[in-house]
Amino acid sequence: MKMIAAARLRKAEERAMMARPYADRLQSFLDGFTISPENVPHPLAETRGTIRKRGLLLITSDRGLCGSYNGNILREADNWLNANGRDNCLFYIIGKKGVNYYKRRGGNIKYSMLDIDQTINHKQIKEITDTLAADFIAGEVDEVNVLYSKYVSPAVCKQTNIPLLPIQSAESETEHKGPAADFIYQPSSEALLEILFPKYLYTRIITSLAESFASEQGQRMVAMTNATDNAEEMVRLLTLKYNNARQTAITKELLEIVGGAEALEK
Amino acid sequence: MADQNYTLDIMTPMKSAFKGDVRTLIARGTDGYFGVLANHAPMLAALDFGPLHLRTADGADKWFAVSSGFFEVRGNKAAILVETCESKDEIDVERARKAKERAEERLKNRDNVDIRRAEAALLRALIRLNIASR
Repeated sequence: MKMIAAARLRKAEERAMMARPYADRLQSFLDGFTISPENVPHPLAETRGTIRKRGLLLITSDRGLCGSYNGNILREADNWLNANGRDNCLFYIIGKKGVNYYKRRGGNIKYSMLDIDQTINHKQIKEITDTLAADFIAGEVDEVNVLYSKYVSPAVCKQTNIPLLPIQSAESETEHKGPAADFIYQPSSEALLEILFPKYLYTRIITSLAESFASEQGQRMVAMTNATDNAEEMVRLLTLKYNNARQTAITKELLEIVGGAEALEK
Repeated sequence: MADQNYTLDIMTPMKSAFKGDVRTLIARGTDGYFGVLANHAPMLAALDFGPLHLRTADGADKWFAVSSGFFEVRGNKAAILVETCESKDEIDVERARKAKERAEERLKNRDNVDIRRAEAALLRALIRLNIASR
């Protein structure tokens, strides 16, 4: 189990690391358009005055035996739920553990995806993206966050809750770059945003998943390493105990034989 | 002249597909093909599914089939962000050929087909086959 987890971790970690530069770059493209979301109305960037319903895309695992991975992320989800009021929250859950948890605890599960392909396939991600975008545009939710486990190291992951929709470019960067006025936009900046928004949402989801999968495998490896170590210690103690008992039995038998022989000689 | 070249980074969510110095590149934007040489003015362009041609600093030609995405250049640093980027060797020729046949079949019996989707699929298959045969 430990070896399997380690091999999977290596792959998942690599994927998460690969996704980061792409996501960062896309973010910087978006940040370049600071002024635009107000100027260019796009349904995915619409900020609503009153927030009636909040959505949360929660990423958990399908399988257990991964230490406190699910426990930690579900605790975060509960905090979010308590902060926003149970009735105003809708869940979009990936992974069996999260679905089971909120089924038992009575959360509003709007959408769930089980048995997600850990190699990350386009079709599934597209389905999630489209569901979120459609619900947001239809006004079923006025705000969507994503809660995932950011991968730090095999033993450490950080539960991260960030806004997903409406799409906003990073604030507070009036001094910090952004494409200058002489930037050429091909075709136009409006048309670019039209393409950028759905891609951005898609990328956000793909990176959240990649990070979560890496975290999950890391946690699993640590849990399995601990289990292996504990088992080895247990084997050592039990072997000792067994040998003790065996020795006692042999000694006892020898004493009986010797005692019996002595009795005969007399 | 050292500034005939500029650096290019091709990134996908799965991997970094190319990183290095190039002399020219020709890509398919949403408005048509465009080429970029060193010292290009800052630009952000949307890319459509299409072939991507690079001539690297040492004069070698490289071809890729890329999906839709973005191209950015500023200060002799260029980046391409696409969902997939397949080099000549990475293309699954058999799969592309099958996709081509499927799309052609759909376009032949026109009824009840999403023609735009079939055409797009055909185009993708043709581009892949074209790149693979280079």
